Amino acid sequence: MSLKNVTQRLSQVSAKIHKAPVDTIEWPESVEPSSAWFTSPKLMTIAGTSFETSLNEQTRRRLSFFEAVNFYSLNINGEKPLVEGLNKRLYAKGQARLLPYLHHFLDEENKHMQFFGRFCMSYSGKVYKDKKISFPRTYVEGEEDFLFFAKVVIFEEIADYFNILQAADENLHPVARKINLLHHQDEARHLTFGRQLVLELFEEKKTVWSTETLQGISIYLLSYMVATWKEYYNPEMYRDAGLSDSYEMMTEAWNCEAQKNLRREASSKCIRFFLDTGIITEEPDL
Amino acid sequence: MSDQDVKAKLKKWIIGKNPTTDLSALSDSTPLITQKLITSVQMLDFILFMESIGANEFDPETLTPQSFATIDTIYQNFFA
Ligand SMILES: [Fe+2]
Ligand SMILES: [Fe+2]
Repeated sequence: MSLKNVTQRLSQVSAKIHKAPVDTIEWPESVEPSSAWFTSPKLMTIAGTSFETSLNEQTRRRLSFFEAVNFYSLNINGEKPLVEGLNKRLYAKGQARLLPYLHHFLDEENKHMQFFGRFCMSYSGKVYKDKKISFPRTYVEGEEDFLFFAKVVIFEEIADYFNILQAADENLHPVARKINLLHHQDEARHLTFGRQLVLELFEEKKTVWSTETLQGISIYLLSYMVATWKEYYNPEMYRDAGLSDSYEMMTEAWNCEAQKNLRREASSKCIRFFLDTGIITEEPDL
Repeated sequence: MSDQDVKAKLKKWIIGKNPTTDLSALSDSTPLITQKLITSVQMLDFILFMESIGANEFDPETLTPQSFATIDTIYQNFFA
């Protein structure tokens, strides 16, 4: 028996014992990108731009498929380091209060990657690469944990805005709709946990950390919010949808006023939380 | 595009991202990372820009800050 056969067989057995969300989706053999909406038109990166009127509906639907592949990919690219970070904190010194929820959090993120990954691999043959690079840096005591969970909240709040609206969009392809629904159902709990934890970690440390550290945290998280949004405008999805000048398209979409408003609206809950707690001291330049 | 064209475009991008810094002396060997002319959060933007001006295919996982040390290193690593 080949390794491929072994992994297939073992996956079937595991799936039977542990019912995973990925198996509650009815996966068609194949999908035709331009046949349906895979991203809600009003949430696409071309919403409100000149492309919305210059591209025909078939092309926009095709792009909606690659925007979905990008959305699922950026979730996977965020969940991979999240799983790593959660795993590192399991049974680590000082983290006992996070148990047993950490196990569920970790378990659920792995399951998300299963359905996001299955869509991307089955229908587009790839997951878009993560092009973020983080430079090595030093942290004061407690800062690394704090930033880890604060970034998770930012990342999940933004994605959840898309999940909620798309789970309710009757015009979306059923698989895309179900993926958004399944993800939102878990994320709602992750966000409750994340916000509470970030709040407590900050309350514990804000009088201990220096003004420079606190300022550094605010600046860092503000730019993290912008960087998180940049990933939604991946030029590769325009290229894959058959559009030329993908970089110029990304630049125009990013700079479009309607898109800025979308980003502000989608981030408003998140921004309010970080402003109210005093973690950030101004609005991000979205 | 000649190597001089590529380097000029890279410089223009960096100058554009640092409007309050005097970069009239920016050269091909100016340390970009240690002088914080390119920061970690700008990397994604910068990588997309490099791809748009014809960077070679690369694996993001193999990149380190050293890959972007100077204009010369960037040219060597991504365009040569
Ligand atoms: Fe997730
Ligand atoms: Fe999550």
